[in-house]
Amino acid sequence: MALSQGWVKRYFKAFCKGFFVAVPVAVTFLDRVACVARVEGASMQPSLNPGGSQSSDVVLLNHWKVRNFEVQRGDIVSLVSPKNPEQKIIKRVIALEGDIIKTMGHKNRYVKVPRGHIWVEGDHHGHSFDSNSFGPVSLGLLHGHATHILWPPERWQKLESVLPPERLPIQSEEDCLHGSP
Amino acid sequence: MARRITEKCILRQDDGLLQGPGILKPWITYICFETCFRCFFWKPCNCLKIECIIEKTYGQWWQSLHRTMLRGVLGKTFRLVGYTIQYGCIAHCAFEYVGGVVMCSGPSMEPTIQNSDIVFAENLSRHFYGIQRGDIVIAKSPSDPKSNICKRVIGLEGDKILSSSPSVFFKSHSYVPTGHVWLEGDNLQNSTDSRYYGPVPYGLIRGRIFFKIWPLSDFGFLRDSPNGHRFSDD
Repeated sequence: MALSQGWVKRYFKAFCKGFFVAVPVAVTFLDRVACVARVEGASMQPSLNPGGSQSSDVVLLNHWKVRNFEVQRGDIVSLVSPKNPEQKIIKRVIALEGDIIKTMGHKNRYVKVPRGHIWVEGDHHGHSFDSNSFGPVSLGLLHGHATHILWPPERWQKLESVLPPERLPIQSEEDCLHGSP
Repeated sequence: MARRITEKCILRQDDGLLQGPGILKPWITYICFETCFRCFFWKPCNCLKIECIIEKTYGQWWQSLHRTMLRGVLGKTFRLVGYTIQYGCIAHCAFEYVGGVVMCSGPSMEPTIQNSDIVFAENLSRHFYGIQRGDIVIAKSPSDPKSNICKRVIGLEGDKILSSSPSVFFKSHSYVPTGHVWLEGDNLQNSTDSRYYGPVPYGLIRGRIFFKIWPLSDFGFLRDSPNGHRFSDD
């Protein structure tokens, strides 16, 4: 009898020890390294969710890559919505700070992206709540970089950072520095 | 080298039952029958009585075995790395979800917070969306995401804000958009805040400052805004 009671106490101690190790490590991993998220909505069709509401894609979000807020034009990123801080949105980066772009549906025809901001758009123009509605977003709202589609299995792929040619900036920061018109 | 057990402890070997008193052969794993844990010679066993006896009779030999086997340099390094990762993760969770100590620099919040004051910031309000008008918050700078700014919340979404400078005759009001807050420093003459870069998205707020730790002459909860006239009634 005495031996079996000691066994219960030992297991309880081992469980507590494991709990206080596993939970912070898991939480830190999901916050800082990578996590998985389900995409809802049609704003990124056809790259994400081509099947509409029938099957939602599940993507891998890489937090480690954006820890220094380094993104490239064409990356698909997730960010905290500037209009609703409880929600995260997933869009493609069209322009970086210093670029001048032609907008589609924004109140100004041409916008220069301010310092520390980016311009994001969904691939499905017209069905997307993006920078054309709320303007450039601050880089501090960046959440993660979507690198792969994990589910459904027939859609396993690496997401490419491709910018459609008609959305290239009219003048980018690098052009300014090198002195071209 | 054989080890002798003299107490009554039931051990099971792979090829049968061994009940004390008996002889334990070296380099063979025994399983404590009652608790089903493996008893290695160099690992503390759940059969405490066996460990005691073996320790007493073969003290020196046991110690050297400990040192050269699993408790070697490799084991120590692994354990150090493991502890670093574990405490680093606990620290991250504490700073991210509970709060931490922050040092503020800059004159924009004088006289409430002076340059190089040390304050305590909590992050629970941000996660539960409990930031109020009049709170002092830490937020990521909208123009430089790697640096933080420390300002007071003057208006929440939907509030009417005096967005022009007080010296201008024709005052212009604007409304704070949804999902944003209007931040101003207490030192209005010397503060770059929402009057310069516009309303700040709520998602950039990192935490709320509510307690000052240093200097000790100013220890305690923070004062209300000296610029009460900047707050609107609705």
